[in-house]
Amino acid sequence: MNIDLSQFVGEFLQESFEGLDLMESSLLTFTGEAEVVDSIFRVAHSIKGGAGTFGFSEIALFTHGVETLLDKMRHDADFVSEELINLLLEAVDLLRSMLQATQDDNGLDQYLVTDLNRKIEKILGSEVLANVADDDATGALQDEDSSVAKCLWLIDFKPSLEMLKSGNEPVFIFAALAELGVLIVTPNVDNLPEIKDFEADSLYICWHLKLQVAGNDQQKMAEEIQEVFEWVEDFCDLKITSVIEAPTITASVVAASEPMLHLADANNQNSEDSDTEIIDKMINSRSTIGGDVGSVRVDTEKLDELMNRVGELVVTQAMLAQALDSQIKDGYQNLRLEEGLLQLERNTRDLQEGVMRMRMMPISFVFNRFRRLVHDVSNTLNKKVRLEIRGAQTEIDKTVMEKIGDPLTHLIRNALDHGLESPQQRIENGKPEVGTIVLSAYHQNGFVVIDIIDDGRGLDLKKILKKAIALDLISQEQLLSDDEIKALIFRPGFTTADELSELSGRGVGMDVVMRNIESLGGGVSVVSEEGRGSSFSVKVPLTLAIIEGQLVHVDEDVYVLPLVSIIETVFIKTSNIKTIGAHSYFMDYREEYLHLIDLKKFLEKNNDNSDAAANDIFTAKHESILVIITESAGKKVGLVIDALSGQQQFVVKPLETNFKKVQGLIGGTILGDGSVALILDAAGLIAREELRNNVVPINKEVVL
Amino acid sequence: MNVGQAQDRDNIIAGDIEGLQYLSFFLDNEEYAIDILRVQELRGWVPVTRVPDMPDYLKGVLNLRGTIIPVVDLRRRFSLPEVSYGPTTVVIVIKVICADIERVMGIIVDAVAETYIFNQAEIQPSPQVGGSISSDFITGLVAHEDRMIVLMDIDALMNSEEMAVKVETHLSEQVAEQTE
Repeated sequence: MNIDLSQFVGEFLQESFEGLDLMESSLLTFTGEAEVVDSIFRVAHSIKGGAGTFGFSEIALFTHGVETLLDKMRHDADFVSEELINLLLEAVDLLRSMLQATQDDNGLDQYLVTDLNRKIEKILGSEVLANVADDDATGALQDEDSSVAKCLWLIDFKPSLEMLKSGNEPVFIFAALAELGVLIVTPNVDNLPEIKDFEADSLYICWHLKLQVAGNDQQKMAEEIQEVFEWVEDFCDLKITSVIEAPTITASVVAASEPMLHLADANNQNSEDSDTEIIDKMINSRSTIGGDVGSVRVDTEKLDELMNRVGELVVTQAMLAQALDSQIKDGYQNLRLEEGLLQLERNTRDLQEGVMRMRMMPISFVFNRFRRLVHDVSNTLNKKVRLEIRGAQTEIDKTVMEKIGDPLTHLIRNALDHGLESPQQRIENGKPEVGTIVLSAYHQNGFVVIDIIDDGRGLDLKKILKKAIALDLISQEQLLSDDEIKALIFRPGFTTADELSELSGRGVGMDVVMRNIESLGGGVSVVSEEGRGSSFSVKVPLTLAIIEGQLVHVDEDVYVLPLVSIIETVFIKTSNIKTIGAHSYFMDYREEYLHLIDLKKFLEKNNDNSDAAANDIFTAKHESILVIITESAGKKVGLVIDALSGQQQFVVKPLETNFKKVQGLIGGTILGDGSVALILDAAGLIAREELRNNVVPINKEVVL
Repeated sequence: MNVGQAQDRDNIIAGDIEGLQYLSFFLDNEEYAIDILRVQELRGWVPVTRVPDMPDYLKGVLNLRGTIIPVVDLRRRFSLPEVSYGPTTVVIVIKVICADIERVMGIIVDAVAETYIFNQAEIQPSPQVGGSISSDFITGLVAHEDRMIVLMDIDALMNSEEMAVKVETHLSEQVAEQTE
């Protein structure tokens, strides 16, 4: 057996991590469904099997204990308790770190393993005491887990040719053995006849089995094993021997989890080939266990590369279309070429969409994480919380998904900590004792909106206002609308918590959430009713790779402004522009004075002559100017531009790949003529302008 | 003798002799050379897109088959008199290595000249030059047929302060700083 198994280890670990995630989320939503227990069991089982195959005997043995618990859960609905679920969650965590340790080649914390094993024993043990007439399996396994001695059973199983005809199936026997411990099955195919002599219902294979169990009751174990072979005793030669202090299982052939594969490969004469195939099949079947039938694992890098190529194709296609346009203007006509280009355009668009879709993943990957968060945090806070998840299948780009995890965690923690009241308070207020947090995702105009809704106390506007004044974020005299007060919570340094709690209120709060979401080209808004609850809406683009944008002309330069940050475009009379000090210009926009940023100035460096040129725009030379009103973090500014042209989708290319990040720019994009246009970032522009004008934002000096 | 020379070249190509191949270019009538392995391609001058807040020698960015690369005018970088770009104006697309990251950039030069093989013995140490071209950017000098060729350290030049990718302060850190 000289197959190099190490190449499959990565695959095994990957599958196992995913399996554990599934196990965790299933445990958290578990309400007693048999199918759920089955799926959790399958995960544990394939981890055990895989770990056995690759020689991670510690993991295999530990998983075996977990499996016992699950098996008990499967057969005895009364066994399920809060305590058991928590224990299983701990086991998931431990398995995860065990696998991680294997991946990183680090040592395991043996104490944790023993500790948790003891807990598992305890829960099983107490059960056994309570219920003396327990089934055999539990009794046996209790023995196993309480012992430190490991025992290896060697079983030579030589069935007769007639065994299959008697209605006995070796696969089931092996499955039964696998229940007892870690099983390694080695087939012997020496007796296989020539294919012409092959009879389908005869059994030509014999097996050598290694069964590793932890247990000190040898007698009982022997009986257990014997019992498995009870029905086939007359049809086979059976030899069972035991070796105490078993050596570490070396990866030989295949784990117990897929014994049926041996049969599938029974026709294969060459044992070495068959082994490789067995492993292949094992891996395939493992991914089917994961539930993603018919899917392919692809490196994200490869997808990005493909995405880039398609982006290029779009540009090339646009270039051809432009060339044709100019030829048509010159009176040249070629209908076939026109038609072909039209088709090319359609195809490229479809291809682009297809590639985009490949990067999309259901948002449940992030959402499932929060079940655990809510479970843990509500326990810490002694609050009763029900988490309701809606729209978990909503698809979102992988890169966006990776970046919304933290902000969402923050919002959910806030909802749990500040939003929901304690059970007593809730009852006093005439609300159900159990609070509800709804996490809901849906698509809206090319964006994904995620709502975090709680039925807690809602935002206390008076408290926010008081706190904001205390923190010097606003002055006592300022009159603010309700919405403006709500917007205060997104200011840096703002916190309503009177004391810093473990969970939230470390001083960095909603402003970070806001900025992180805005850096993705999205936004956060809040609706709240005092005493009834709050709803935070996080709006993020479907993807970061493509944005909807507006082409904007400033002198001979062309920029792209993301549509999401545009409120409207207006012409204003230069005579209506107000000045404050030397270079600060304001316009009257719906009874609000907005700061004007001249995009021409944006390009100039901070040298003296630029001011003279810049002032030009605001003088009477132009009767009116074109202004785009943009918004970011509740701040509105007017961008002075020369002209607008088309709205379209743009493929975003980061500048930092070969250069560096520039404040005020999201990146660049390649236009139809092959030239580069820079994509403006409203938030960055505002921040930059504040710096340039030395307008110290009122919140900058907050000292906590 | 001829055989010997050919042998030399073979050895150099095979990397047996300490010698490197260089691509030279002209800048204000002076000849400069860079490691040819760093040269990705040569392009004619096309207008680039200006980027705000950049030093004047940074002409802007251009589209190199789907990736955006910055373009530096070496004349301006070295405070040499400006000339308008003509048909021989060339953009040399080079690979720059900075902290193990390979980046692609363009440099604008007057014209591309020749390729040479120089071995260590031919290369004289760089003099301490004051002025617009700091000696930090020069790896050595070579006298070649009465001409002086300046060997340029492309990594040092392109990674100098203004060009280097600034370490991004993450938003949360900024906020943390502010609130502390």
